Amino acid sequence: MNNDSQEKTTHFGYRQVAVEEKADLVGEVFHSVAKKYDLMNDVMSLGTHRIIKRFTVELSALRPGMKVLDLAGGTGDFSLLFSPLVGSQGQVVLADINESMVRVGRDRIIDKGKSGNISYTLANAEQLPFTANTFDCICIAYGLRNVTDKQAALNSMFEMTAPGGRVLILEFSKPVNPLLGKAYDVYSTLWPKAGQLITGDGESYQYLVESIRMHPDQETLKQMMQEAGFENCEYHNVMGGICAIHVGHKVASR
Amino acid sequence: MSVTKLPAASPRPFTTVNSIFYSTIYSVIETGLNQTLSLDPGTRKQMESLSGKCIRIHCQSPRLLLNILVCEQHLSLSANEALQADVSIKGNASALMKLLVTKNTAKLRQDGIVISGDVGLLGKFQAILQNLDIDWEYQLSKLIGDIPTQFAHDSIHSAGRFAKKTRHNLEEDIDNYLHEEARLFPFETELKEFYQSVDALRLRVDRLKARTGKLQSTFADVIPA
Repeated sequence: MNNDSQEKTTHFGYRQVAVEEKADLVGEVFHSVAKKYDLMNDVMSLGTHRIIKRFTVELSALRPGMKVLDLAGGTGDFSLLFSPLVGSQGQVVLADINESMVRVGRDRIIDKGKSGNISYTLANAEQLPFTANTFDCICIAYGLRNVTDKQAALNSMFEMTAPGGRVLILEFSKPVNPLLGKAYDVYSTLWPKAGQLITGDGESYQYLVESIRMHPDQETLKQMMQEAGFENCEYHNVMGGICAIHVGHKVASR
Repeated sequence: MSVTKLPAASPRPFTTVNSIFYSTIYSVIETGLNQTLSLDPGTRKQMESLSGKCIRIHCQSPRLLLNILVCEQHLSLSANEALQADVSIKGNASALMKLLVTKNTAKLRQDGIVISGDVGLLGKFQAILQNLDIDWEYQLSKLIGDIPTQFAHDSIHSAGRFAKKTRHNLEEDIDNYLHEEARLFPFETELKEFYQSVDALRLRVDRLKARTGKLQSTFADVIPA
């Protein structure tokens, strides 16, 4: 899967598309669902995504004054949770490759009256436009799946992480229990239909379901993180492995 | 006040199922706590002086970890061991509960509570929380207006006064009945006299015992036992 870029094609769900096309195709998906994104999250996860998010934020071990990058931050759920943790001395950067998502996220955060320590950037995760060793924590939640070259993104994230900092990757993964896996497969076939009903765009959710199946499993992703240079990598299975949170550290003495 | 760095996180902190469970509970408690804090601006202001400090409560049985992180004017709870704590309290549940209600800190060591790190911070934190003074009337007046609040205040206070007076009267009446009329219980003076005579008797018995012992040892050679 890491060699996708060398073969000049990559997967977009189950389809094979040219490498340069994937970003645009993913872009279209999110342009069309941005406004109803949060509602769909509630529908698909039966509301559990709130707990998972809160747990992920706990793993960030952030404290006042730290800098955090909310990569693929989309509608700003994580930025809203990070903002009070890092306080007025800290900084939260919400970055997303998709303009619609950043717009929705920014509007939502400003509407909640949260400002001051949150800034917004349009950025490609494969080539992050920041100074190296900047962030105490980089968090990418449900975003890595959509990146064309995942290894490049991990490398770039490693570069931006400050020594002693950590990266959190929250992503769909492989259920540990085969029975749960079956049930989950059946349940996820309903998502395109729900997507059609709520956002009027079933295809985007068809892509979502397919991209989840194509995403590397827990151990593969852990290995990719180690390749990027992260150490003490570990992952927490959530809901029996439907989601997994990978944590990697950039050790200070290197 | 000495600051000692705590040892780094141990290899595997906790199982994920447990911590998602705790994470949910902590998020509920955290919301409640911050709501309460938001009602007392003074305490919130004071809390800001501890911003960035982390207090860890480590309960050993049942195994439970709670980090209280002060983020400017609010608190954040978490169960992550990777978060470096400034002060950590370790002990079992009953001892920690005792710590919550008691003000006598001298017996902490006997209860098996170990505190490491910045002890002064703990004192400051406790002092701030003890000064928590929520102006309920102000909050209520914002909600229902001044005059209804005054009315509510008056009625609550008069109800309180009535309850207090009634309880006092009732206690006195029961006391009188049991002692004076039914004579089921002795008076305090009678009791005292009785205890005194028991004490005196015990002393006399002790003296007599000592005396017989002495006599026995004196005549042990003459009279065979």
